[in-house]
Amino acid sequence: NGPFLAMTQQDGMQLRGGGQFSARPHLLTLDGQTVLVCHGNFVRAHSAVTGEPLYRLTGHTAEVTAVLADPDNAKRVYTSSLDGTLRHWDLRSGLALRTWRVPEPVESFALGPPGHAWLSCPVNDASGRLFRYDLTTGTPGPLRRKIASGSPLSMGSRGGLVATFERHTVLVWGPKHGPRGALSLFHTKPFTCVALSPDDDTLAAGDRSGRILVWRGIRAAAESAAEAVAATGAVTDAGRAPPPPTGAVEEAVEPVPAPAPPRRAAPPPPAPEPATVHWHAQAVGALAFSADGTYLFSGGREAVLVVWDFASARRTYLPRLGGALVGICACPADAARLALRQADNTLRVVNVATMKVEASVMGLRPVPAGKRARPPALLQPGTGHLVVAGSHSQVQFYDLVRDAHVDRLQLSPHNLGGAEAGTGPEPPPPRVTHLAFSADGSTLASVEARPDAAAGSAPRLVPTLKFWGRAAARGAGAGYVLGTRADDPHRGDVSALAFHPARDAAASASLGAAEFKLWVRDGSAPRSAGPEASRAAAAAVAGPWRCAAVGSYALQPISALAYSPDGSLLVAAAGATLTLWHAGQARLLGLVPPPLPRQVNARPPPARQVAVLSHAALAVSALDGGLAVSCLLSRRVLWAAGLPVLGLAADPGSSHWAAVLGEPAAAARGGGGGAAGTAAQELTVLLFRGAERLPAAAWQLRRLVAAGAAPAAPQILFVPPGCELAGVASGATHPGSSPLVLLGPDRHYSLLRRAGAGAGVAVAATMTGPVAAADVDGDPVQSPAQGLSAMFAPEAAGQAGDKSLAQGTPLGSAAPWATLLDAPSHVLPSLDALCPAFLKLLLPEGEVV
Amino acid sequence: MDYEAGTYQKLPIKQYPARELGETAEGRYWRRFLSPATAKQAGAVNYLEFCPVRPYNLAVTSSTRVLVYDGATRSLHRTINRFKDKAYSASWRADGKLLVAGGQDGIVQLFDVGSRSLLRQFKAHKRPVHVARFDPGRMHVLSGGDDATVRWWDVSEGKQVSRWEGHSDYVRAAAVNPAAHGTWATGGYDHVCKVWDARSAQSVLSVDHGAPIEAVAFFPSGSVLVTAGGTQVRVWDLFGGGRELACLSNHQKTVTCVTVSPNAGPDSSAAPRLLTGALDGHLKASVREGVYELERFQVTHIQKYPGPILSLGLSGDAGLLAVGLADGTLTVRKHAKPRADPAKAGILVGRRSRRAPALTAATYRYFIRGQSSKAAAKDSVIAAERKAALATHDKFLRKFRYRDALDAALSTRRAEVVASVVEELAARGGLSSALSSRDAAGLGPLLDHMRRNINDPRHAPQLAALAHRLLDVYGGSEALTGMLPALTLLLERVELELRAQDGLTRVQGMLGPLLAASVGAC
Repeated sequence: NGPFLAMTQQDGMQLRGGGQFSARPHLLTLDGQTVLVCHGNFVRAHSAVTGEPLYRLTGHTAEVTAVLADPDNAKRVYTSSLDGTLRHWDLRSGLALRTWRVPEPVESFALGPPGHAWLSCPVNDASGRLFRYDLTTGTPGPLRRKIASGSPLSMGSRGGLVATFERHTVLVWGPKHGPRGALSLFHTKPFTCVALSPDDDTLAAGDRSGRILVWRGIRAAAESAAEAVAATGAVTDAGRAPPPPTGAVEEAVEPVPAPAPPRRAAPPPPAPEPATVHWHAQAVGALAFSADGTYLFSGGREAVLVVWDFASARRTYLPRLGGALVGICACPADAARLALRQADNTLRVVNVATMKVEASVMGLRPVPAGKRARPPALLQPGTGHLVVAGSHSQVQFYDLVRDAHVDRLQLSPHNLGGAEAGTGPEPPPPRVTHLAFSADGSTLASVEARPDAAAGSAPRLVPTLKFWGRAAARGAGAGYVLGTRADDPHRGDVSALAFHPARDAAASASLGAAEFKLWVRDGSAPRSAGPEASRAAAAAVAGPWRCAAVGSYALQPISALAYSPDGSLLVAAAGATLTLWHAGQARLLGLVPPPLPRQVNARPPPARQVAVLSHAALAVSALDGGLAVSCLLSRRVLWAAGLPVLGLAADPGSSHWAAVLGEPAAAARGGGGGAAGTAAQELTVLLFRGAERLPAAAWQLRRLVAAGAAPAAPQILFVPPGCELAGVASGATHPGSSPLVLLGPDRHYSLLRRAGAGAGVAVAATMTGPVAAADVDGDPVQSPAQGLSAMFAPEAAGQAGDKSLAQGTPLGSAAPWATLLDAPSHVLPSLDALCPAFLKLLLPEGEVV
Repeated sequence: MDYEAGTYQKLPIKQYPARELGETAEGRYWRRFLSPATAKQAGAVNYLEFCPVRPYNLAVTSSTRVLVYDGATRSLHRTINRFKDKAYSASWRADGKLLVAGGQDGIVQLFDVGSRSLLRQFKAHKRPVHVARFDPGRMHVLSGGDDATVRWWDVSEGKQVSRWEGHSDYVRAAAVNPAAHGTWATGGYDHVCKVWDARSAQSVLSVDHGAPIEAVAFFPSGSVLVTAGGTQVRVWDLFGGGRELACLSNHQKTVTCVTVSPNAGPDSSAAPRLLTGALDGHLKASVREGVYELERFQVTHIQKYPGPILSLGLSGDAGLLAVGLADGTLTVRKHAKPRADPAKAGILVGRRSRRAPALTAATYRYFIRGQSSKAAAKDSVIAAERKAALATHDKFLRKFRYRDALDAALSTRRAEVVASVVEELAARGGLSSALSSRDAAGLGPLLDHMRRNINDPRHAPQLAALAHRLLDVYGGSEALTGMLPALTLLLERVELELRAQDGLTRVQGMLGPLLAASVGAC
């Protein structure tokens, strides 16, 4: 009966979505019908029965950090945010009933005695503060304590005990004495999570080694500890007394009474001894008690929900949940229902009575952890769904228009936490390295790397090339079925994978083997693969693929591959040279020599990415620190520029192409609003048309990252024609070009908005990051990036001066003749144009009569 | 389209593309002639023939003896050594009771197989008789001698009926038309194959093979004649007046024997098979495809023997394949799945009709009654919860019992299952626990699997890595001594493979300059 709040998915022309919602605590409402998750600046509500999205609570201006149920009203919740506010929401109307302005960002909070809340606020990276906040008057209370930053608070009964943990310590306190009289429980291993039973009698804490420590009778222990503190008149551990707070926060803090000289008093009562239980092989990720306190639920990286029954001292398991568990929330109304939050951006509602998953909410999968910066992401032809590689060799199909999960494809089986403890190092997780679609989307080619059977501390990751065919008419889902697999196709790494735009042909390349292979699908009838009819049908779609030809050029490592859009040519970047091959046979047709490097005798940089433009015989290559545009007909470099290129993409429908430029994050700018140690990273997206050197449009993006971090590459994708996304985004970008989707490294995506009328270069878009604080939309960029000015300044001069000279001039040449002689021989202008210019340069100006 | 979280995903078994060579149904069929039984004869096995009736005894002519092998046990059954000089071409009568054989002394002799007694002697040939055959009508014998004559004998009277003149050189081959019993084909060293009508003793047709003919055979239809001689096998259409249908030049040396079997070959492609053996030691099976006008003979299988092949035979049910070599070796192979006896095919075994027992509580059927009956239209059906059938290795993988999972995969003896399980264990990090703390007996199946598959390029990288790992784990341990025989075998296989690779590299090195030169010449 609650009103339906319209989901604002389209913010003007700009489509935004993605991002992680599994990082912050979630809530299963008291009636057990709704799950609330913190997702960026708002709270998302999903049905706990079907997983459907219901509504959003919008109003916070920074990241929402916690959501807690109002114990007095099942239809109301409290939220806290980094914008320094607490809000009280009515779920029926979706409105904030009351807003409290706490003068500092709130990291976590718990409800204390009626009218009071305990707040945990970060002061800097290392430390934070804990204090009581009076909700009736809106003032911070006197009881405060210094703790580690980001310590989450956990509460037992209403107005009862509250617990938190620092590195090796769990702190428990009651409402009467507050955190300064907290009971400290020490442990040799660092704690990872803590939970209090609803009757305040039992405390459970998980540590990094997978052990769970359970203290009984914790209420009495906490009270006696607080009594002892009160009796001595000081904190028990004087060394842990908070020093006087510093900085801007200091004014808000009431003067701390000077600690009395420690008296020789009775020693504090000994802390109760915990019982230790151990099942998890890795760190315990989440703990929760059932509403009646008889069961303890725990989860971790093994993706197994463990149910501990204290009465019968038995464990039961719900295994194979698919992702590491990072949060558990029990339902007060139904003791058997739990809402689980997983690290792979998934929310599941499970029933521990039937041991079944009842509902799942899947977000866009986060970037898998690891060194590799660019997991593959592309848009599926036909549907326009975003296809991204997640961890555990999964591929996810995601609807950008609805911001909803569509389907997933498991490339190879993977079990979380399958390694046995004490049998050597855990093997590296399998990962997807390359994905490619055929032009009609009926075939998907994938390359994944899995560890091989060899012994040793560093098993080799063996790439496997797989071709997947789509069984006909599976609706919106992916429905891809494995057709052919080729283990270790190059006896080494696989560096590139490309699909022919028209035929059933693909190409893969390798750096180590210095070769590329052409794969074709056999026309012969497929082998009957098994009794299952579905498999036979899929095999009919994805017939057997085989290697038709192998090519290599001068034993140069091949780093990138691209087919020309008409399908006649295969461009392979062999070392620094672009080699042109017949697309059907491995027959060399021509070479495009590399642009001349700036330093004499320097090796020309190899190309990392190559794209061939449609409607123009041009190839664009992203070099190490540069861009080069080459003409495939004359086989020469038209122009090259030294720019920090992170990636490029070519429009399948027009001769446009786009590049992302980015520098490593500079030092923090003042007033960013973020915590210390972060810096703004400038990213620029440039849209070019054909061989023109002046970009048709540009976007400047800012995001907050850790200072000095290498630029994490966002990916730019042109929307394929004919899909729903193209309809939504029609007219969104430059006229004539397909719309551009920008996928950030944190898996936020947005559609790049069209430049304002007449603005050639200066349009800005923003990208919301986890730490938010981005530029405002539409703010024109007055001063382009350093590399940009270096690039376009000669062009501006060249318009006035000799055009033939300016064209093909490498950047960064200082001497006047260098501009002439630095150019590679194949791009030198004709002698007629060269000689007058050379003479003009030689002769000092003014002396010519 | 969402998957069921919490359910075990079955381990997908790897599938490999079909190998280019030898993985056809035809190749599999011929490779299933297994367990060769060899016997060394005193001289070259110049002829062998299977008895037309069960148990398909085998008559082998070698030196001065004719040996009869039991078709069921493949052991020596009878020996007939009543020859003064070399015996040739011991051939069975249609009922399998009599044998006729020629000889170097020109005498054609008739034996009773059961008693080994000499029944008749036909003396007319002036020169050695290399071919003697029974007429399917049982009462006549045909013989061809080096005096360039073919003679037709009556068995009951023991006299020559007629003498067929026409060949100008040794007669070395003869065959009767299976469709028209009065028609014989003979071939001689005068390159000519003549077709005779036994009633008129006249040659009705003669075809020129172009080389001395060593063997002739008819297809079951009786319309197609095969002649072998020199390095070629020619196929003739008799109804077309001796038109040459095909000339097969698949052998490097003289083709010495040819057999047509209507029953050989896999079930999927039923066509008569032509088997030829030659002095180059190759046995080739060809299949005739297509309709009558479009003859196409394809070699479907090749088998190499360690010496020149002089004779071969295939039993009537295609269950036994016998090959005789010039060095006296006789090899009899047995097929795993012989055909049903063609003679018995038409007879149906009478089936007893059973009365359905009464449905009382004294029978088990009473208690399972109605369980297989279909639901009526108005019944509400509750679908049974389908339990995924898991393979044994899947069950163990699900329980994280890695060593048992590996053992279960090994016990299937399917290399692709083992490869999939090992890959999964490596990805899970459970390989070391699956391999460790085994004794020599526990390692046996694994080493056996390695030995069988380490030469297979599809499994070699994985098995090599596994072998390294195994040696790392067990190096210097006590289990290693128990493994030594198996490891030695493994080493032999690896050395074999290395030699093969070495040879291939040499061939490649030789081909490289040739190809470069040819490319340069173009």
